[in-house]
Amino acid sequence: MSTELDTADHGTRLPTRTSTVLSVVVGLGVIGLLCWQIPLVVGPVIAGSVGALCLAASLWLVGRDRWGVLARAGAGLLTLPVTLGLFAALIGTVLAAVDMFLPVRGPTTISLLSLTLVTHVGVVVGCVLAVLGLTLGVRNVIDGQRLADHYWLTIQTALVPATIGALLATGAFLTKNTTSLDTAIVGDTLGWLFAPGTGQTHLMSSLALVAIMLAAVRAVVDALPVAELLADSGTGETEQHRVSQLLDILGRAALLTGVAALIALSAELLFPPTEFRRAVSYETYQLLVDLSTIPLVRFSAVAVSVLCLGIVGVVSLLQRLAANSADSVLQRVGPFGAGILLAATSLTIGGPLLENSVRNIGRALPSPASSIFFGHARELLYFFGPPTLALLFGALLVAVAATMLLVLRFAVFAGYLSDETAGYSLASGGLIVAAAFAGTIVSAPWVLFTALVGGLFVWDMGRYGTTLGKEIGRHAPTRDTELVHAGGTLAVGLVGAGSAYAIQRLLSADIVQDSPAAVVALAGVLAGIVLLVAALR
Amino acid sequence: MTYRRVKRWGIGLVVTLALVALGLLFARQTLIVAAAIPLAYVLYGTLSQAPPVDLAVSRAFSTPDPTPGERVEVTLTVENVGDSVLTDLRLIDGVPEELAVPDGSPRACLALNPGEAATLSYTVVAKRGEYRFTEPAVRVRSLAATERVTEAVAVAGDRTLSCANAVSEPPLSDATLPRAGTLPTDSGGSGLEFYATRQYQAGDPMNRVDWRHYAKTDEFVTIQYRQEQAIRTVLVVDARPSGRVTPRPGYPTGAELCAYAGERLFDALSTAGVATTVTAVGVENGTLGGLIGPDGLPWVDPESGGVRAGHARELFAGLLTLAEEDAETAGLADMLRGDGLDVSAPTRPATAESTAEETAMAADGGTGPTIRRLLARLPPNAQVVLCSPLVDEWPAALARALAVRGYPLVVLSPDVTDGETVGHRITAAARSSTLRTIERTDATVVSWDVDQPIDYALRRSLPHLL
Repeated sequence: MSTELDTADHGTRLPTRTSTVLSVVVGLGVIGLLCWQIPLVVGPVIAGSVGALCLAASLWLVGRDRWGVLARAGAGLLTLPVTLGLFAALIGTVLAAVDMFLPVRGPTTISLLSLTLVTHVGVVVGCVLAVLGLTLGVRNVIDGQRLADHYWLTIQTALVPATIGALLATGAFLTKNTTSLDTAIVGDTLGWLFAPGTGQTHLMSSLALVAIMLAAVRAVVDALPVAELLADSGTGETEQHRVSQLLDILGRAALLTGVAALIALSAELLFPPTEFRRAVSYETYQLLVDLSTIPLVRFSAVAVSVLCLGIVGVVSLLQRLAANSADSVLQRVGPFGAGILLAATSLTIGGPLLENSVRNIGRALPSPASSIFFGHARELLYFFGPPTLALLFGALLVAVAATMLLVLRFAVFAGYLSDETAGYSLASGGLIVAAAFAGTIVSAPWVLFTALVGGLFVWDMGRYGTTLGKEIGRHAPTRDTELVHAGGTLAVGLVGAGSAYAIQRLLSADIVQDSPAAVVALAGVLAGIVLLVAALR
Repeated sequence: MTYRRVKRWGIGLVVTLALVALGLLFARQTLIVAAAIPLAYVLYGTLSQAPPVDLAVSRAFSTPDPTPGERVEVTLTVENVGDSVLTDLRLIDGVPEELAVPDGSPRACLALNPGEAATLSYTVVAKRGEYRFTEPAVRVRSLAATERVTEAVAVAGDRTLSCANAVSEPPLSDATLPRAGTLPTDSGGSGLEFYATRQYQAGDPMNRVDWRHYAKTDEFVTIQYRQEQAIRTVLVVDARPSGRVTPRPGYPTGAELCAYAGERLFDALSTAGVATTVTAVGVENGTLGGLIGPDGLPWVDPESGGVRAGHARELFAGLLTLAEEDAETAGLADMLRGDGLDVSAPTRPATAESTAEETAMAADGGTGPTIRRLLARLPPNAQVVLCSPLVDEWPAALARALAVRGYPLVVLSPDVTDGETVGHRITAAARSSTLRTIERTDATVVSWDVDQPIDYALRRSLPHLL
């Protein structure tokens, strides 16, 4: 065993138990204190905390080796409640703050409302960050690699609902259907694909379908072992050469057809049907219309494309299965499975949930905003349909979760969050932010002082426990030393809080006149102390 | 000694500035005043200094000369002989990397007043050889943990843990045989015990003529006594790769324990005057120098002359080294950690295949190549002692082959299947089955629980050999 103070428990970075317990208890105590003093934030903090716990759970699942397939699928599913919780927290805070200031009496009220919104949102965000940080810090489940893995997993999860939603939305755009039924949208989309109206040419779509079909056939010829299946032609030509020739022909045909589709698109966009009809003869125009709207041709192109792409997908999957273990393939597929489940849920129950939510939000808003909100919401619901909108919204939420993970990853990469103590850094940062904003809402200074001391205590004990766990491990008794250190940290906090309280009393005792100059002077004194400390360091 | 300053409270400056800015933005005096709190922490971190380190450390082993596999408790006593309070003292004892620590921890975090002492205890598993403990590393931090000092402190007391194979006194006191070095046979000749009479033949010694019978019948008959032959003992050490397994990381492997037990038996038998041949199975060519014969078996014979003991020592040393090397390179500890033995995946696949082939052939009634080579080398009047961990069926195949040919067999088997996991239990059940199979061939089986000293196992096996 090395005599250097390297990691005690190889492969684990768990902080010691006493420090963990102290940090969690103090952290939760500060959050409880702020919620008690600011009742308006209780609901949003709870909603946001649920999301934070889901994020911590999903990060833990991403790093698991056992039950890897289920763990990755579960991590993908949990990304939705993460952002749902955050959105609920933010929207709840806004609605509650707005409700406080109704009815609006003038510009002063608006600026007050804005400040109130910012401060309350700051408290809520700080508390939610603290819950997230404390949960992550307990098992130290956050590091750069895990954040990167989770980010890509979330992207894969969002891919399926986003793709389906995009297809449905595109169908809605193309058919310009205004009914609220998704089945009608799907039916109209399919109708446009296979049997569009004969009033105008559909050269672009026909040529595009043919180009896609040719590309798909080329892909399947490339994927399948065609060369091995071909019989010897007897002309001295190798099978592989013949297959290469076929691939070449198909590729060129697809390319040419695609280019032709682009030209047709330009023509159909630049020339409305009436002008186009005048530019060419009636018979030619009608021929073009008939050729571009033959249902059998279009249906065959779509069917062959779907079949070929399906075969390519199956071949690719079989190749991966052969090259990798089934478990590793399933692990990769897990997030897509979660995405399929999310999409299915959105399409089935997402619609009514979305309508309910829109109704509740609209009712909570003040009257002019409410009517505007309802107007826009109805238009979107009628155009896309509630299930499609729910699907798109779900994909958006998962994408937002991916963005949050990217931000965290960047913070770790840039060094703003330590790789080893990221959880406790987040927790203490959240507590300090919440405390600072709470200081602008709550008049009693002891609330601010207590929350600040708590936030800095969590910072110190979290790092101390993590370092101790790394150097000594969890098997050796370390409680006494940790309690001594915690006592010292708390004592310094009390001294600091006491000093702050004394200064506060001094200022409020009219010994010093309350004026901007006094505030600036105070800031100057603090700046001087900061410089003194910097010099001492 | 290394000194380092840790910037823990930079966050305090950031929070101070943030509070001042927020206070100015929201025109809240309280926020600006609250900046005193993080400033207090910054001052605390700046002014906190690590105390000077003045420690007296001593180490003691519970057993200075343990046997392989024996647990040794190491006790480290740390006393603060300085004048400063050490609020955060972290200590790591210099345990050699080869020794596993199954109980306790060689790391501690202490808070010591001046004159106060603390004790740190942990257990290591002894392995053959000498292992030197290095000086413990100590790190002291200030109360604010912003300053730390790291150094290695001198330690008094025990430093080296020696685990040797030398035999001081073989446990012969419990042997209960009338004569050492002989074995009564089931044939007539010169001896002490009456066997039979036969017709007198010219040349028979006069002192063997039954004169009473002649007085009665006037016929000359010669008395035959039960012939006694000198015992030839062949000690077979099972060093095959399938036996190079441990129940837990850091413990000696089954092959190591067999080599150790074989060496102790060899010394005991040699001291008792028993002519002992030593051989080993599962040793690849090129690993034991010139000890391996053309048939692939190392063979140290009593007829080799005065250098026999030296060759035997060389063979046992080579076997122990081979078992240790193979355990390290194959990563057996990782493979077996918490999962019991993995006898289906021996360290060297080629040997595993030949072992499986041998076992299969023996199970069908035939003998594998190794067993055939052994049988070819065995003297006709030999008794065989097999040291094997019995983790597969090969020893049972050997026992059947020896029983068929009338060779007495004694098996001394270290139990390396002790453990709590499902894998341990399954392997222990398989070993028990192999034990019973061998016992049914009229062989004597002595199972050695490695938590007990090997003397117990030797006392139970030697009476069958002497």
